[in-house]
Amino acid sequence: MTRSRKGERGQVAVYAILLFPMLMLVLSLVLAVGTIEGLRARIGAQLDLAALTATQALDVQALARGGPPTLIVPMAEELAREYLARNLAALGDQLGSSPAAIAEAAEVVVSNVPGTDPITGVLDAAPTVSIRIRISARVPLLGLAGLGPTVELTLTGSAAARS
Amino acid sequence: MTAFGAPPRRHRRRGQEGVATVEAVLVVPLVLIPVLFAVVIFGRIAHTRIVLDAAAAAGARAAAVAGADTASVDQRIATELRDGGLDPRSVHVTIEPAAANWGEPIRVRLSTAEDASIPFLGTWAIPLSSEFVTRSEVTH
Repeated sequence: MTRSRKGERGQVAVYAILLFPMLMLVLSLVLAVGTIEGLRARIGAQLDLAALTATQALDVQALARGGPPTLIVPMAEELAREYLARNLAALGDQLGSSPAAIAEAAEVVVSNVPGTDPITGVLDAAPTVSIRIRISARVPLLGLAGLGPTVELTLTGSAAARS
Repeated sequence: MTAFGAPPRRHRRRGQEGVATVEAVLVVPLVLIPVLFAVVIFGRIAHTRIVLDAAAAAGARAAAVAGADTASVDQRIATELRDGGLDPRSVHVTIEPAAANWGEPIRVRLSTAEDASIPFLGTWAIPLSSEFVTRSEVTH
């Protein structure tokens, strides 16, 4: 066997071994971003459903008198927080804090007058419940990529009551 | 070229031709194919999860309006699953309680298992579930 053949043998294996950690790093980053986006979509749906549930806090007596739909603000806020906590519980240990604590700290705006929603920035024509939360979510794949295993997310959801 | 002993340069090259290719053929499948499969499987799992979420949310909304586990709720969930490309028969649906009065919570949970098979590594059934809780709008 010649000297040069000895030197070249295994070149591809060396490249593969050197490139493998880089490949894994890129792969874990891609999967982490996918996981985060999936989590955002799921929590967004939970926020929307909690807001929609809160729109059940309609003033039924005013509605029966023929008045426009009006939300009872304390009840709507309470429902929004209760059902946000109930839905967030399905995420288990992916959340950095307890669902009850997140729901308690959530910013809930109940609006009965038309105007720009302070949370979503959308022009509301009907009574609206909007929720904004700031959470830290655990994404273990970020740890594999050499980053911190938690990510801070700010998410909003809203729903309008229409008769 | 040396005068004595050493083989001609051209001869040495010919002996090494294709060595890197052979090594690549051996190494690439072992490293890149599992990675490629992992990415594809992750995409499939993400897709299944998104469809489950959409179906569970729609089912929860339908259950709130119906105030119970009715055929219309099951139908709504099945339609969402089919629209998302999932077979409703492969998804287990749980609606609790079976009937809820005004103001009572209703929980809709969908669960399934996604088969993940990666060459050289193995095969797994990845459990996936989605759950939404809403409030009944009906008095029975």
